[in-house]
Amino acid sequence: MIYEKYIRVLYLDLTTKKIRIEHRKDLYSYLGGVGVASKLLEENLKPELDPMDPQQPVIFAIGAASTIFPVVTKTVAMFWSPLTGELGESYAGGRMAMTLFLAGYDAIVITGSSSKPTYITISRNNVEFKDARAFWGLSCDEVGRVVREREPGGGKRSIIRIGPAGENLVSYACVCVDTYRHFGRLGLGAVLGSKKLKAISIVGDRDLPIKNFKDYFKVYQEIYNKVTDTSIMSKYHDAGTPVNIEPLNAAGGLPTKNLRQNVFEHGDKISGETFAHKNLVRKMACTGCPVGCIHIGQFRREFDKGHEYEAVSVSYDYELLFALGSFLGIKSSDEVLQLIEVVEKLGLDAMSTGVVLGWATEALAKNLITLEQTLVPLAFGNTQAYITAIEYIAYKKNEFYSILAQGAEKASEIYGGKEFAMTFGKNEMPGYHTGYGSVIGPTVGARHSHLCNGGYSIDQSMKEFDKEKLVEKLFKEEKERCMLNSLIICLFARKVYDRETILAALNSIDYNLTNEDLDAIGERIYKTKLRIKKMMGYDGKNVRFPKRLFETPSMSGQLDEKVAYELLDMYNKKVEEMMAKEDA
Amino acid sequence: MKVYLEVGSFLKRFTSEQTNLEINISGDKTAAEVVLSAGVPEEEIGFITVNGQKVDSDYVLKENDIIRVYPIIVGG
Repeated sequence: MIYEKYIRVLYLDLTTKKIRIEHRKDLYSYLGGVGVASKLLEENLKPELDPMDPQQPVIFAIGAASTIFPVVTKTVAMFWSPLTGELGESYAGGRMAMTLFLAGYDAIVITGSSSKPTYITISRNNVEFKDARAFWGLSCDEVGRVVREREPGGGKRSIIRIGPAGENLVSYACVCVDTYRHFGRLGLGAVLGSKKLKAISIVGDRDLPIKNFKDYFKVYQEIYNKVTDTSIMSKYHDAGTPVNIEPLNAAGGLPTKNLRQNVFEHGDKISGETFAHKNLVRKMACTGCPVGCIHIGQFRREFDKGHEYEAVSVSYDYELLFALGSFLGIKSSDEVLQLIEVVEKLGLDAMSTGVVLGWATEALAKNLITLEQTLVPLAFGNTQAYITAIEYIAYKKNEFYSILAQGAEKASEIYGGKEFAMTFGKNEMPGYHTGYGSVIGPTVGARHSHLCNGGYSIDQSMKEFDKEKLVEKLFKEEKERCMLNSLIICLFARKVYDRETILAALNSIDYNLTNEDLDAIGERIYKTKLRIKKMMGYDGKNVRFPKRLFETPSMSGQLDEKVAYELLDMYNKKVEEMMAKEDA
Repeated sequence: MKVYLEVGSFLKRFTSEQTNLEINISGDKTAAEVVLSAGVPEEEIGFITVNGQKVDSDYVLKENDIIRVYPIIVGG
């Protein structure tokens, strides 16, 4: 909590409906965000029980600088992922960090399970468990609307909720946050579904005066000017991440049709430029961000044959255009938006959904599965079939879709086709086939995301491939991002928040940190995550790479499977060395 | 000698909104030099192609080469 030397944790038990607040001085050395959340997950986890056992915890935490400085907008969620069977870590923007901060909580620990559908309302002096039986079955946008209408606090409120996919325990169900933001990856929606927790509404309405305003405001203005007056962030507002389609497609790094191709012949039809011309209607920002990188696209839909049209708005960014675009061979921006709308309503992770369907499409073509199982003729470019299949996944229509709802790794274990089940550590791949960095990065990353260490970005910046340098950069970046995610900055702004800026920012609000402290915090958090992963049964030596990665050339050329395993081994050794120091 | 520079829509803000430029150069000039002299900052350049092929930044241009500059890949 700002100006206090403790972390204020709200504990909620859905089984007993008990609530308590603790001021944890011992968590202060973890700064906030992912540091605090990791430690809380570690101490509340029940490794002997199933990942979705009611006793398992879900942690939400804001960072040490949340909403106090520009672009520090994220809330982290940590849990036991039903998708990968190990560390669950996901981030969302929107208003949640601001409301938690102004409600006076640094972190929330939710344990237990309700006997009937429930939603929770949280404010600075009240927490209530409320009946959500009437909400069960509603889509993410419907339940958002109903909670908005029932609960006070508009403008200072954040509402997070699950859709039917979460209720039905789809392993990659997401949690929708406010408007167009999500805890997207690794199945937090299913974990909340297992607790019968449909929604949480948080109202933050405290007034928090800033001490030493002059010092604080000087730092704030420097950061604000860097964000708004330089080109570091403007690209995220102007074109946003959809700009990536064009260079990745031109360079042969755009995963296409389940990565059978690295170039999409219709890439120009789903490029950022095309979306900007045809579909973009507005841009939005998370609270506390002057950039506004959330791109909203619109498509027209006929209510029914011969009737009027409605205009449907959804947010889009690069990963969605990849997963529900090139990866499925979708040839128009309107169709990509249609697919995004379906996953949004049902509450699914768009990336996993697209990649899972890519596997299913190829598995059907190779006769590993049948039309009797898929019920619709899955084929690259067939948007209508994919829309139906996404609904079947969310509702687990039959045995096949129940298995598909557990991810591409699980489906390929049962039906075959592991060599083209495009996962890293059982998490469906992100949209970069840029080189060894894009392969090793998410494989060794604590949560198997491209965001763990930005391997794809290292591929781009390395002039010449060097094994030692790549491994060292990944390792260093993984630790650095643990520190950044304890603040919690939006990673788009990581070039704004260099070490000097971070120290100036935190020390202007009464921290007394040095560069060495930040190093230590990053390493402390990374070690905590690794301990949790070990408790969950993860062993870095047991991971596998899908063969397809080495068949389809990357942006850096053909990749060699042996080199990939060598790099993996090198990284694992670095981890072992670091952990051995801790044990000693 | 004459070369041609194509700038995608997301980099045209650096070239006064021009997307197709005809440039006269004298002597040996590299692809990167031409792109930089057109106004695209180094940190915004992802990679460069000449006549459809990805080239190193020190590629020396020839008459009528068509250069295309792509933005860096962005994200978290």
